[in-house]
Amino acid sequence: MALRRLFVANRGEIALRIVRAAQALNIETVVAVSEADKDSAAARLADRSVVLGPPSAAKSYLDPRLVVHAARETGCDGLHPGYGFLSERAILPRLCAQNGIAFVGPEPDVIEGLGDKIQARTMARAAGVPLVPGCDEIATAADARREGDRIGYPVLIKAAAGGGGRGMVIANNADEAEAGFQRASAEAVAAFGDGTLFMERFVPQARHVEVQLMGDGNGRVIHFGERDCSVQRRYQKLIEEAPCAAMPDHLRQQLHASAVALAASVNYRNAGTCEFLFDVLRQEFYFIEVNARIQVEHPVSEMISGFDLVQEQLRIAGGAGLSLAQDQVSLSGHAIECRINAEDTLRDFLPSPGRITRWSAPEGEGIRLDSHMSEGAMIPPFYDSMVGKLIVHAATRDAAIDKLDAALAEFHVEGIATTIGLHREIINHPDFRANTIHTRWLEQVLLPARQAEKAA
Amino acid sequence: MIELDEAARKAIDNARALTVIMLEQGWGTVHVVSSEGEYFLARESGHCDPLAPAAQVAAAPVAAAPVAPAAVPATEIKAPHIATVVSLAAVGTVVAAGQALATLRVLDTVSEVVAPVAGTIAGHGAAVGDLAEFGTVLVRLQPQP
Repeated sequence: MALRRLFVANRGEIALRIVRAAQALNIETVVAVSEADKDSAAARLADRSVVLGPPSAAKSYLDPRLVVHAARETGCDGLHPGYGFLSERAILPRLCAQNGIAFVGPEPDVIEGLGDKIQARTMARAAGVPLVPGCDEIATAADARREGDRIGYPVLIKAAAGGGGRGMVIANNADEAEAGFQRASAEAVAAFGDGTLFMERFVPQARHVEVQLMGDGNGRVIHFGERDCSVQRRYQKLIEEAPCAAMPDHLRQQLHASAVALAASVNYRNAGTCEFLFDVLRQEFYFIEVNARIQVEHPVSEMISGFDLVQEQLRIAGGAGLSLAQDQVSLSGHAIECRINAEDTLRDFLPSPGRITRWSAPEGEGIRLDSHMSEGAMIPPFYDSMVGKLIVHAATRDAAIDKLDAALAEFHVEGIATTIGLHREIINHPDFRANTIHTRWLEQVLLPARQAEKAA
Repeated sequence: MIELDEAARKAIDNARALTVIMLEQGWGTVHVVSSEGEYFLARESGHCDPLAPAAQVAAAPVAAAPVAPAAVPATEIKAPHIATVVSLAAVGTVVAAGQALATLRVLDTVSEVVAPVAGTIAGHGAAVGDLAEFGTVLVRLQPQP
């Protein structure tokens, strides 16, 4: 029984993306909006839209009872949560189940288990997925020396109760580990009243890699390759690529196998992403977490696989199994995505809401724009600042960068500040071209240099 | 740029939502006390004040020269969120401030929408059984002169 009418419990570009995927499968759509999004592109394209509440997300998009009530009363038999908002809150699939609505995502217990850091690590360990080497409790300076030697330097010594960098020390050898223990312990007692410390391997040059997964809920899981999302600012991804060109093939295969094993071990259903830290110097990867939803950056995996992941999500939620086997997934070329945000990069990325007075977007083969924006559209100040995602696909990484640069040069947006200019600076930087970047590169290298240049 | 903590962001979000409701309902002041904190919003002048209607009436000069009373427009009472309409006060019903005008249901939870001022139900904007979206007029309330 395929889905007949889908409730879209999200906004922005992903709401539009979901409506289009549903329409391709002849599924009717009802889009939930707040007062501020009544005229959004998704609301106009859908068969129906309903206003949940005022602009405040807490009183509209983030209220699971309003969302499920609206879905039920509009006769929907499926609900897609998108990303963000309620997408990883187990209450949403629970309320859906109580009201006879198929949730487009995993089982609530799986969402809860994977959402808990400790439980997720336990599940990963049980499935044979590598974790960052570490030790849960360092009680004495001798412990610090012994465990540091075992784990391998550099190591991070951290307060168990910690946060904000207090009670945190990086040690490069056994002597530093001992001295670091004394300092971190004293700081932790002073700051948190609790001197308990733990230790883990410190990865100075890490890349963020993640595997796109799709499961049928009965233990069958396939992957659509990996993505590299190492261009980040304050843990927010700005640019994502597929594949991770910096990873050798033998590691890539282990990475995919680890992600699939973890998802299969919990009978994962629907789309998900397993995130890893890739230690470039040691050539090892470690589990971070599973995102139990479709992700912002899913288009780069779609571009290299030629497969529509959101349509597959809707088929699976409608009761179908996976529509293809792993050996039918064929990945080719290189794709890169830029998140275009309405932010002023020269004013500490201050959000720049307002009306778009010009929107002239690039087009062409291998160029895809996922956006809910157009000329005259209004960006309300209540939500996140992403106005679209520009994705390109080409035969090689170099060709993809060239294509992206040309596309960004043709992208003209007026009325608001955007990150388009910054993206061109990033992708034309020698480090990005040479692919020697890491997760802190943007904040440690490019942005400070840019700031100094502007100040001069 | 000022970094706001979660509580401050939530407070601003709440204040913003309350402002929208206040403007839409045409209220002069809003005073909310909840577990999250206390909010007091007021306009400068010229709007009905649900907290002090009696005070305004009492302050009016008793022996004022008779003037033709201006037609007071009916107040539109709107759904505060999406909900199914369970009941509506009948047209012609006289209600006091704070009295229920409508009952709404979200899943299996029922709540009341109350009169901001005393008045008479002048009409309905929705019917029992409707899925009323946020902002849908439930009833029109003719305030007591």
